[in-house]
Amino acid sequence: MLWLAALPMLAGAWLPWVLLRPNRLAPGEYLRLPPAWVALAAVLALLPALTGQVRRGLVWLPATLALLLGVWLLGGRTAAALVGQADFARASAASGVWLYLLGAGVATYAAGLALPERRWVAWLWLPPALALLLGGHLADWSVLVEGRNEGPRWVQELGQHLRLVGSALGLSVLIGVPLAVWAAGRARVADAVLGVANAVQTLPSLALLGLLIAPLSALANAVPALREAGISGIGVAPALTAMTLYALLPVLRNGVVALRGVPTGVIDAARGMGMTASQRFWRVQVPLALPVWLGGVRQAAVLLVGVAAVAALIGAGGLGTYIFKGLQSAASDLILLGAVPAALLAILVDGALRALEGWLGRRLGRAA
Amino acid sequence: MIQVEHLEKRYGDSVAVQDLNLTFPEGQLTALLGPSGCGKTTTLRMINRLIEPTGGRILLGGQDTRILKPEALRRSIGYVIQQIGLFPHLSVAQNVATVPDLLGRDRRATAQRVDELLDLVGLDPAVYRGKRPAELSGGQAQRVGVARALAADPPVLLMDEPFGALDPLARDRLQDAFRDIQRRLGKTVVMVTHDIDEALRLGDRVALMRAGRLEQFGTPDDLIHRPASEFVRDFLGEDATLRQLAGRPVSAFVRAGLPSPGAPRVQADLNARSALSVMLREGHDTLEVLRGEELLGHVAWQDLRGEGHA
Ligand SMILES: Nc1ncnc2c1ncn2[C@@H]1O[C@H](COP(=O)(O)OP(=O)(O)O)[C@@H](O)[C@H]1O
Ligand SMILES: [Mg+2]
Repeated sequence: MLWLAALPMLAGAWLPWVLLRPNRLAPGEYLRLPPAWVALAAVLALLPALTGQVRRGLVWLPATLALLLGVWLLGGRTAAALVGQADFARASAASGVWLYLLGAGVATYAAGLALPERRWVAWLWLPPALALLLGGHLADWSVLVEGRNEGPRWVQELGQHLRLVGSALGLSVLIGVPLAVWAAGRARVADAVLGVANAVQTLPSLALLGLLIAPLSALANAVPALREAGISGIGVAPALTAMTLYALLPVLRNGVVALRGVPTGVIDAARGMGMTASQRFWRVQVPLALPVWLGGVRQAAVLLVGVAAVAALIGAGGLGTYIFKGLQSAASDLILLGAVPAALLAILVDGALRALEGWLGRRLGRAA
Repeated sequence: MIQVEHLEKRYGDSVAVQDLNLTFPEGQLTALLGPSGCGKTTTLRMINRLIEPTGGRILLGGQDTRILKPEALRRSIGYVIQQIGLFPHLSVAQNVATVPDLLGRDRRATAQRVDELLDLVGLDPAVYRGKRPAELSGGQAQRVGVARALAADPPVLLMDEPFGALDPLARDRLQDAFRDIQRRLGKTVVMVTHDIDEALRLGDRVALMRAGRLEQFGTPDDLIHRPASEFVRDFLGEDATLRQLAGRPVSAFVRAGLPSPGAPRVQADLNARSALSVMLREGHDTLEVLRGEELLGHVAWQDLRGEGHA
């Protein structure tokens, strides 16, 4: 895995690093790294794999350094490219940057896998990278230039994205939790729920969104009162409905699986010792089901961050707005302005909820 | 004392238990024995109303169990099952404290009680009270299960194949430990088992069931030497006497006095079946029984025949 990660990094160090264009839509020229940097980047590309041969536990150090070098060089080279250029000029990341970061990312991930007790070392790159970003070192990167131009609007769309995800997640938990509790107590219902949930889960989110828009607009057209209440095939309401339904499935499915996974002997003992139904539920079933159940909520949250990007397609706003705007005008910087934060958001949500799950699992006596 | 009168449980057209009349004597261990599916578990679970009977009644200390709420009834009855069912998210101490906590007993008194009980079941409190169930072996876990059932000092203990899932060695040890505990505490115990050795070894009384009905109720000697039916004799098997001997130390049969000269010597804690085997091997019909160096007396092969000989 580490040697496999070294390949794209080596290629990335050698390939063009920066694309310089006179304005954001014009064709431009590709700039490579200066030879000294190519050499350093190549050394850091090989170092994780070499370290892996000797001490697997130390791989995180060169891998993290390589990743940070990639980010740092992105800022440095874009700034250097823009020296003496007009205001409209844009310096964006070329294939070299992406390959290099991809390889370094894989290497840090592998470094984390090598240390099951200290997975967090795979995230050590994050604080310095954030410092580079917030410290303005990356300010000349075209995506951030676009971001600055968009400024408050970008913040608004991010907020809208978070609101969409948060509301859909909240609603699906609110509906899914009681539904799961109800279904888990009935074998037939539980089987049906699991069947439906698994079937629907295989639908791509875009298709589900489309499937929901048609009936919603038909409904809105048929019942004018609903249209006046803001329900139509386009906008926030259908997006939120679709997202809630989509997120409901993992919440419901994991809930049913988790609750039914509580050993029957444990439930029987609880009953036999005189716990009432509600004592059994709160003291036994909930704590034992929670880690697995939270796994469902995490899946739902990560799915929602992605689905919310698609929601822009039907006018619900969010980071997806930039993706689709960028696609229409073939401006890759705009696409990245939406896609990169959405991806980071998904990673962040996943990591945070995973940590919570692990902690709960240990607290609750599972082998996590 | 638990009295069962005309007890019946039907599931639709099929009958799990019918017209069961039985008194589980105070302070004794009654083994509910019988082939799989004969209604032992159903009977046991009707006592603490995990299953509601479709007919008849159960009196606990003279009171109909239906006057209490099921939860209140169950808190006053210990319950041990084959799956053990410890709460995996709670420590050993918290598990044992379950019923006292449900009853709202004082926390500090309960903590002390938990330590006493762990001691009683042979687990060092200092080592075990903070452990999680996942860290215990099967035998240790069921010791905790027994301690948990005894925590609120219930007069009655219901056990459903409590040692059935343990490996033979752990089962032997736990059966011995439990016999000592029972001798000390004198609870009224109903123990479901399909294991004849276990029933003969631990039971003061044995209730043998067949297809939802009571086939015979009596002491192990009654069942072995005075079987009420062909079924009882067949179920216990031709080696029932040996099975019974296997469960007792030879010291239980010792009488004072000098044995015939040249008698082989055995230790008092040897089980009686092995003692009989020594007689067969050595060609002697008496044995000298010693505890350490001290002579306890002797045992003759007639003594091992139990009350059947007469
Ligand atoms: N919930 C139930 N529904 C229908 N039949 C049952 C149910 N529980 C037990 N039975 C039947 O009742 C009989 C007695 O079961 P049980 O008391 O569990 O036997 P065992 O002596 O092995 O403990 C069996 O034939 C079993 O199939
Ligand atoms: Mg049974």
